[in-house]
Amino acid sequence: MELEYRYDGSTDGLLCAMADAIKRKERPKIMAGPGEAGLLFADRIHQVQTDEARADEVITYFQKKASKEAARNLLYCLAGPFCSMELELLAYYRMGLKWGRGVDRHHADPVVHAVHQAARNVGREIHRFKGLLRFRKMQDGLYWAPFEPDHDIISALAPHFRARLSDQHWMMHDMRRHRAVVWDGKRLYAELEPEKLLKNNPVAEEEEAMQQLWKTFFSSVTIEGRKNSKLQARCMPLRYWRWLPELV
Amino acid sequence: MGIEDKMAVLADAAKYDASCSSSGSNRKGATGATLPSGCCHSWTPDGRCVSLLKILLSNVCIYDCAYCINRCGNDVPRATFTVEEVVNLTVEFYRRNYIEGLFLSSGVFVSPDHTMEQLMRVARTLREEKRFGGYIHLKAIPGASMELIDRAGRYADRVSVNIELPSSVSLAKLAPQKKKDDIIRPMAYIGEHWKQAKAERKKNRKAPRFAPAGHSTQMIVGATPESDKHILDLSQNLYDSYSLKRVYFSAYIPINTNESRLPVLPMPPLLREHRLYQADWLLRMYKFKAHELLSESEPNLDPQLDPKAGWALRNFQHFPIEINTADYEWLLRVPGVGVLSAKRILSARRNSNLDFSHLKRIGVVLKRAQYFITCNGKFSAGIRLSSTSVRRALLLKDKPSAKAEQLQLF
Ligand code: SF4
Repeated sequence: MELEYRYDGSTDGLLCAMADAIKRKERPKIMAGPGEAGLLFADRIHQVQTDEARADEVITYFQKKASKEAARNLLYCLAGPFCSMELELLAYYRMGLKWGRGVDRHHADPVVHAVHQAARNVGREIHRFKGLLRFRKMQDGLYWAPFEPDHDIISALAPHFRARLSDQHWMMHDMRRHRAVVWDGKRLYAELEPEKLLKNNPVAEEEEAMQQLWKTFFSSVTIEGRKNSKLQARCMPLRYWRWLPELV
Repeated sequence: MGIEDKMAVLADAAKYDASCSSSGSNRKGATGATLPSGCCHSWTPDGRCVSLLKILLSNVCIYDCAYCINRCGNDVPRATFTVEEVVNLTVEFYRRNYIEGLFLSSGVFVSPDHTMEQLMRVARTLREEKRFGGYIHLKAIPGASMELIDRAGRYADRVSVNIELPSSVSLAKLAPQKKKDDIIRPMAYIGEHWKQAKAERKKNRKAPRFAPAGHSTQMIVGATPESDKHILDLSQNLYDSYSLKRVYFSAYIPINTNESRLPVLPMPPLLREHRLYQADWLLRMYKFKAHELLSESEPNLDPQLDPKAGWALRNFQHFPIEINTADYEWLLRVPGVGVLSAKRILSARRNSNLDFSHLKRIGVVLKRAQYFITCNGKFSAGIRLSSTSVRRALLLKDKPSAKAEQLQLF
């Protein structure tokens, strides 16, 4: 039987779709988001209901049955372009339930390999931005960090900066997805209207001098005789440069 | 002199110093925490990773080391930061996430003790007044008192002494004011205290830290006549006797061209530096011993081949090894198999019998490994090649000049 699952294209939707497949013991031929082509001759189409709370449970359950790493791999894949690997994620989920924490040992398995690969790409970007995120101090004391990541990594990245810059008031701001996370010294929360915090709030007076010192440092440590711009661009792709004071 | 100008002078003066690792420490303060795995914050146009604010406190120096740009005989612009300036820069840069922390070294001004005291004060102010939890690496000044070094170690994540040159003869010739003992003594002291403090903290979480990221050292290669064998034996010795975390090599860059005690080189020996790092990596991560890589009759590394491939070709009679049954130690010795892929092979082969397509997914570099392994008794090409043809094949694939430039020096 040719079975087609339709979900709303969101990560929560996909998690619910996976839960449906497990619960109904079904093996869909395709799991498609809106606008994606379905099967030519589907025997049945199942419409998935998206439910945020249920999606959270799917992750918690997986973490309990498989492992923390496996749950993190799944979440990282969901932060990336997952719309062509739904079936692999479902297969990985099944394997995790079946094999428990051993699932990630199957390095030679094509599904596990694909999931690891995708998770690694997202993990790499998260690690990159631990270094590349730049905060600038605004007049009211807020440290504002605009950035444009390829993947939706803001929530995975925020705890790192909470641990690191815990005594300052800051906002991370994904300019591509218009999402922001704020740390106010006590709480970490999603800010739905980041523009409000920036209104009538230009950069602080000392900000320019600090950026200038950083630029001076940066150009002084370059060894002229060893210029290698290709290598620089490979380590730090050009699309990230826009928000780096040392490179604009 | 304004702070902007000081920055230009003192960052420039520090840039040839090689090590920049910010890893190995796990600390938390009000501002900042260190990442155990290290982190790059930017890359310079020469492709090096910037992770620490690496500057000199001062480039004024009373010594006259032949290879150094800051030696007292040179006519270069001089500058000295105040303790407060360095503290402020570190905190402000850190708050903006420009850096992981501070790497502070200095020329010797007034006296070794005076210099060391200033360095120590920077670290102390950062930790005690600013509650700074980022990474701090201080250079110990040769000739400074052990008491100051001890205090520095309580605030810094890493304290290191540069060994500078690979032998005491060379040291006497090129850095006559630095006594070998002034270098070895603090090194031994730091190694000892680091071990003690670590053991104490195992028993009691509240015991004071001492340079938790351990210590490292650095030497210049190519300025003096020592062979690679001499250098690697020395490194092995340093790892074994002083619990060093890393030995850094820095290719000699001819700066003082009017200096007759130094050789004239057309360019810095970057490839040699690269091969030494590869060999050093084998000592630390792959359980090789220095004598396996080099001998009295062949005291220098082959510039054309990486040292692991070189070893495998000299010991070609032990190959091929069977991937599905070989010990971990032997998997590690195969060119193209890294620590990670060796571990993955172990866990993956518990689940299924491995073939070449599996190995590829696992991350084995087959174009190098294929000549040294079999899967279920078969070579990937079907036949066993002679060591000469393997050497030829590997040479074609190894482009050292491109690699040498990727060195992460900073
Ligand atoms: S003591 Fe250090 S700064 Fe002074 S000349 Fe020697 S190497 Fe240079």
